[in-house]
Order: sequence, then structure tokens, then C-alpha cells
Amino acid sequence: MAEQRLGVFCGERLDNGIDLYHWSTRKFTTAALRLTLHDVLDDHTSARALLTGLLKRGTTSWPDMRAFTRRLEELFGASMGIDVAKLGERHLSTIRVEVLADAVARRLGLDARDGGLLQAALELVRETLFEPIAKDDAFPADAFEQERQNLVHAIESVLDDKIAYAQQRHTEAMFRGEPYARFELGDPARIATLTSREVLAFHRQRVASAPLDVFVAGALEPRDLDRLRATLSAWPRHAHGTRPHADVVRPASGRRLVEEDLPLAQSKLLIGYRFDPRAVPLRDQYALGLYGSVLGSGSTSKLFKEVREKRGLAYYAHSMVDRFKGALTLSAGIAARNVAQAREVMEAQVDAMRRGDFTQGDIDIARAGILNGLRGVNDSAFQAIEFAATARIGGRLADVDEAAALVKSLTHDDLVRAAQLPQEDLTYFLKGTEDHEPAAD
Amino acid sequence: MNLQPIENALGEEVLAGTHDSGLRVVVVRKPGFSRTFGVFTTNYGSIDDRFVDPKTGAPMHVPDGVAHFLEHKMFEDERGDVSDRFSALGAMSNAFTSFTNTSYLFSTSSQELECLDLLLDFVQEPYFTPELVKKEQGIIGQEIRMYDDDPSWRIYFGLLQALFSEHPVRINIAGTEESIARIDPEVLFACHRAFYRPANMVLTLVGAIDPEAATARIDADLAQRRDTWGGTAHRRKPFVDATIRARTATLDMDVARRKLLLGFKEHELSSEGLAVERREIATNLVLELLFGRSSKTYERLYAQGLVDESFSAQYSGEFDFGFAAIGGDTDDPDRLEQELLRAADEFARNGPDRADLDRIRRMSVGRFAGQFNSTESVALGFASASMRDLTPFDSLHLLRAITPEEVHARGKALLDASRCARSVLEPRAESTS
Repeated sequence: MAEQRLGVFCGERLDNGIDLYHWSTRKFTTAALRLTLHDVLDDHTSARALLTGLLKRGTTSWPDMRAFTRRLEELFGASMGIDVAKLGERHLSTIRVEVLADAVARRLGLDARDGGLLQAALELVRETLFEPIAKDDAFPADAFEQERQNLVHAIESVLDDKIAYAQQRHTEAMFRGEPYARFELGDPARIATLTSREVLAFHRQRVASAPLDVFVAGALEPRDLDRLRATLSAWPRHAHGTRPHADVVRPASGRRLVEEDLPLAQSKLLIGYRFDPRAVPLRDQYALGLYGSVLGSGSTSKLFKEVREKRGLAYYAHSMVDRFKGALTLSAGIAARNVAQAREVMEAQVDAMRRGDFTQGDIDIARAGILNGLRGVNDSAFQAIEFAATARIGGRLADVDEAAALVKSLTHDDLVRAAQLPQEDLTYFLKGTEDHEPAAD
Repeated sequence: MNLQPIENALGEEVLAGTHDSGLRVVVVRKPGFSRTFGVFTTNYGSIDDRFVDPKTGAPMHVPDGVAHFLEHKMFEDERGDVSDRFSALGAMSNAFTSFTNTSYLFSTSSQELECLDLLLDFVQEPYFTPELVKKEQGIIGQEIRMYDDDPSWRIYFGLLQALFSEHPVRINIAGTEESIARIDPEVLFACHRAFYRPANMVLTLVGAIDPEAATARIDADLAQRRDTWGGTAHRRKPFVDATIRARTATLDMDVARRKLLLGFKEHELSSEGLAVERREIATNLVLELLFGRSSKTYERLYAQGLVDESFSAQYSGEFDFGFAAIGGDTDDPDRLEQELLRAADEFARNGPDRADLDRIRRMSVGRFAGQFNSTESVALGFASASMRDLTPFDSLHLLRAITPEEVHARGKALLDASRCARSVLEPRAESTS
């Protein structure tokens, strides 16, 4: 199949349905590799989350966690991470590998192995996906129980990070009944019902057929690329059809309020808005991004200025736009007694944006920040990969310069148009009882 | 000012030099990069609570949290908010305060020389008014409350308060709402006079920046500030805090699981930067061998369900304090503590396995080279090495030079059960609300 450009990456589809994207560059001391399996948030969310732990337990050649880790250490500290993440209503399972560039290893007088470090790391990934440690069509029982336990602990530990906890509770309340309400790590009740055999069977079927992207960035010679293609093409998979996506779009239901009490020193306030992401053309997607910056990104935003700087109501106050789901969330860490005032001031900023009550100066400052971020994207291999991969999923511009040109062309009118989209839906208030304990001594 | 190249194994374009004012400057040019990262660091952190005011000669004992407070306040002057000016240049700016340093930084992909001018200017120009100080007390009060809800922060300072009896490293970097209420403009001016002098600072620039143009800007800026040149800050003499305050610190919070942090306190102190660096690198090798992801201990404890991925072992060592902190989430802090002490004891008796040490060394060299991908980690790496009169390449050299015997001796010296304390976090009984 013909090569396609995706920003700095060249893309091609291999016969077994793998979409390979590569970027040859000598900028970095390491090579970066990212593999992503595409799914949607559904009843298998828990199984996919559990697999991130199970796949770290070893492979046929490196049969336990310690042997596997030692192998990575031998490859001059190659790192491998496996995680699941939400992108709108998609559920993405990702493996990220970073390995020293062969040329750098040689420069340091290290014996880069025959065939190169990238190939060695890719072999570890292949084993992880296609030959995880298993017996009688099941993961080892002790490993399975352990990882099940760890996953449940990880879900429960969200409570330890109060900002993340509040976000999760807000999402659950506002999107109840929609796939988006699911937590990316799954649900303890569902995890309890999974069996080792069932999860392995699910995994085998999925790696063979789910849409799989492979992104590679590093000093790739044509010879390295040929080997990469040959290696990946030999993976036992069959071509897949279209990429799954769920698009549940519901209208906003007014100003709902959900409150919860916890013994905290600082309270958290989150205000959620909705819009229909299908109804946002390309230009308006970028307008929404710039709108989000003016409203609540960084220390020059309206939220930061009005809530923190002018009124001292919060330590942090910002907003986030999820253009995949169609959600805008304002959040702030406040003293409980200030909740009514904080809510009023925060909502007033969204209203002001809607009325066009912001200056060219506000736009210029927010735009400069976005352009700065865009120009720096390709200074990091993983950032470049995320940028290109996300652009592809969202049908956005993968070329940094093209995206920058579009952002530069946005006007006050574009932002006012974007500002009409978000409609207020649900506010979540995590009320701290403000009890101050003396420090441990 | 003239910058001289620093030869290095990675072939990185590194230039360094010292300005007549005493300011140390490092510039690393990264071909192909769009971004420039600049960091201006003063050798002044939360532990520097006693010093002599250079203007009055008076001994000062300042309220807890003042270094961090000062860092916040530097971002506002008579023209308003400094971060707005960075934003207008298309740059991101930030700052942070540690036990020993305060760093101000920008990251930009355009107008890097203008950003450099702004960085030099705002950090060296104090502007404090009673009104601005009062407003900041409210904001930092909220920040302290946020930290109060952060289990890792709380258990960490719980450990330091147990390990140290007098050394100010035991004090929360941000101070308390009570201590920051005592801060006024005069205190801030005195701290700035004492520590924000070029001779006490390092400026590091990494990325798409022209070294010659940058040095010209630095020369021009410092030429206007001759009154701050030279001199050293007179701070409290380094001292050994030998006494463990408490064997155990326990606190309860609204968390999902119990947590343990076991600490070992350093008793070998040194005024030599190279010795401090050597100690740190040897200690990191010990901790990786003993508690790292490929260690027997981690494997055993993970299999027993005593630890999970939250487990870590970290070392923090400076001229007059040092400690290792080991732990994470666990259902059984007592058993985990016993297991960790047993592993430490075994290491003290047997020393490192040679093959393991070689592998960990390989890994560390590879990771060292990997850090050069990020302008931020290069800049911060050079800034902190400069505080020890070193460069990161000295660390690479040490990493390769340290012998198995030295690693063994380091483990024995640090992991001494008589200089150890623990911090335990218990989930609070059902919510009291």
C-alpha cells in the first residue's frame, strides 16, 4: 500500500492490518516505539485494564517479571510501559518502549547487540503480546489473583488523589448510563467475576484482530525500516475492518448539582458543560481549543485571573475541553465556605465568553501559548507520536505547521461561535470539612 | 564573558563559564530542536532559615516557608504579573522551591533572547508590598491545604519529622498557614539581598539558542547590577543532626490503603561537591540493587502481595543532610518493614552480586544518555550539578568508576537499623462528616 504522510510520520498498512508509522530523525539519543490497540469503553473495559498488569508478568522466553525486567536492564535500561486510557469514548491499550539509539550506545563504548537495540526491544514487545506466560490456556493462577488484587487497589487508590477522585466522581455523575462514565481501569465488581481463562482467550482474539497502530521514531535507516516491516508483518494477525467508536450524544440537562462530603482540608468544585462533537467542523475544533485556553488554561486565563488572582478564592482554577466526547469541565480547589461565590464567578466567565466579552489581547496571549506548544511538539519523540496519533483519530491536522497556520487565522468571531456550543449540565461539589490536623510529630 | 566547550562522551554541544559577577552560566545547543528551556537557580531553599542580612549585618531567623513564598512573590512587580509577559512572548514560565534551591524557568519556541532578558530581570528585581504579600498569604494558604490532602506529601514529611530533630529539612517547604502569616515585605527583601546574588546562582540555557547572543544579553544585564556582584551568602554552618526524633510517626487520612515509608538517615557528611555526588550515585546503585524492579526483594514482596507498583526507594543527599526513603502502599506495614530491614541486613553482610551490579550500571548509563532528549532534564541536570561545582558528565564518570567494594561499603554505612525511622499512614475510620 502507498505511503501516507501523517505530520512528520510516513504511514503504511501492512498485510496483517497493522498501521505502521515511522519518523526517521537523528535528533534523539533514544528510539521511541508506541503500539496502540483500539477499542471502545464497554463491558470488556475491566478485562483490558487487567491485561496491562498480566502482560507484565513474563513471556515464554522471560518467564517471570524479574527475568523480563532484567532483560530490559541489559538493553541499557530500555523502558516499557503498558497502560489503558480513555479518549472520548474510546479505550486505548498502549505499550510504550524507549531504547537507547545504537549510535549513542556505540559512542558510549557500549556493545550494541547484533541486530540493534530497537529490534531486540521489538522482540520483547512481540513476546509480550503473542506469547505471554500461560499454562493450559490460562494465565498462571497466582499471577492472575495478584494482578486482580493490584488493579482493584489501583482503582480504590484514586481516593488518595483528591483532584483525580473529584474528576472521576463528576464524570460518573454527569455521564451516568453512557460509556464515557466508565473508569478506564474498569469496575471492581466486574473484575471480581473475570476468570484467567476467559481473559487470556479475550486477549488472544483481540491481539489477532483489533486495530493496531505502531509508531516508531528514531534514527531509522532504510535497512532498519525493511527489518521493521518484515518483523511486524510476521506477527500472527489478520486484517481488521473499521475502527470502533461509540458516539453517545445527549443534550445538557440544566444546572444539576451533586454534593459529597469528605474530611478534607480543601474542597473541589467541578462544573460540567456539554456540546455535540459531531457538529463541530475542523475550524471550530481549533476555535474550541483556543476558546478553552482563553477561558481556563494557564495563569493568563479568565478563570485563573478572576477566581485566584483577583479574588483569592482558589489555589487552582482551570478548564478542560474534551473534543472527542463534547465536554467542557471547569475545576477549582477552594475553601468550602466560598462555594457559592466560586461557582458564580466561574459560570460568569463562561457567560462572558459567550457574549464575546474578551479582548484581542486575551486571544493573542492564549494563541501564543498554543503556538509555542505546537512548535515544540516534535522536540519529543513521544509527544510527536501522541500528536500525530490523536490527530488521526480525531480527523485533525497532523502537520504541526498546518495546525499552527489554522490557529493563527482564528478570529474573535470564531471564538464567540465556539463559545455558544457548551451548555451547562452538572456541577459536582466535593465538600471538605476543613478540619486542620496538627502535623505528625 | 567567555564560555568554554566541555568535552563529553555524548558529543553534546556544551559551553560553560563564570561571569565576573560570579554567576555561573551553562549553554547547551541542541541542533534540530525548536524549543529553548532556560532555568535560573539560586542556591537558596527551605533549609536556609538562618543567615546574616548583608545590608544590616543582623542575624536573621526567618519564618518557615519563606523561600517558597518569595518564589511566588517574584512573579509580581509594579507592572503586574510576570508570567503574563512570558505568555505574551509565547513562552511558558514556572518556578519551584526545594530544600536547597529555588529555580525559575521558561520554555519557549520563539523569542528566546527576549525570554532570557525577562528571566534575568524579574528574578533579580524584588518588588514586595504589604497588599501583595497579604493576597499571597491567602493563595499559599490554599496551596498548603492542598498539600495537607496529599498522602504522599504527608507521609514524606512525617518521615522527615521523625528522622531529624533539629535540621530544617524536617520542615514543610511551604511552611504552615501560621508561619507564612508572619512574613512581611522586609523579610522578603532581606532574603532576596542575601541569596539572589549572581555569585550564588546558576543560569542554564538548553535548546535552540545562540550561545554568543545569549552571553551578550547576560553581560548587558549584569553590567547594570554591579552592586550585587561577588560576595557569598552567610548562612548557618552545616551541622550533623545526629538524633532520631522518633522511631515511628503515624497519621491517619482519608486514603484507600495503608502506606509505609521507611527512612535511613545519613551520618557521613561532606563539604565537597564531588564527594556528595559520589555518595549519591553509590547510594542509587545500592537502592536499585536492593529494592529495584529486578531485585530479589521486590520480586518476593510483590509475590507476597506486600508491595505493588507504588513501591519505590529514593535517596536525597546534600552537604549536611541525607536520607533514603523506601516504601509504598501495603496492607501490612509491620511485616513490610521487617522484610526491608532483613534485605538491608543481608546486603550489609554479603555485598552486591557482581553480575547484578554490571547490569544495573549498564541500565543507569543508558538512562543517563536518554535524559539528553529533553531540554528540560538537561537544563535541570546542569543546574543541580553546578550547585556541586560539577557537570552531569562527572556523574557519568562516577557511575562507571564506582567499585563493588564501594557500593558494599555505602550500603553498610547508610542502611543502619539504628538510624532508621518509619512513617505510617492509616486509613481514617469511616468518614466523620
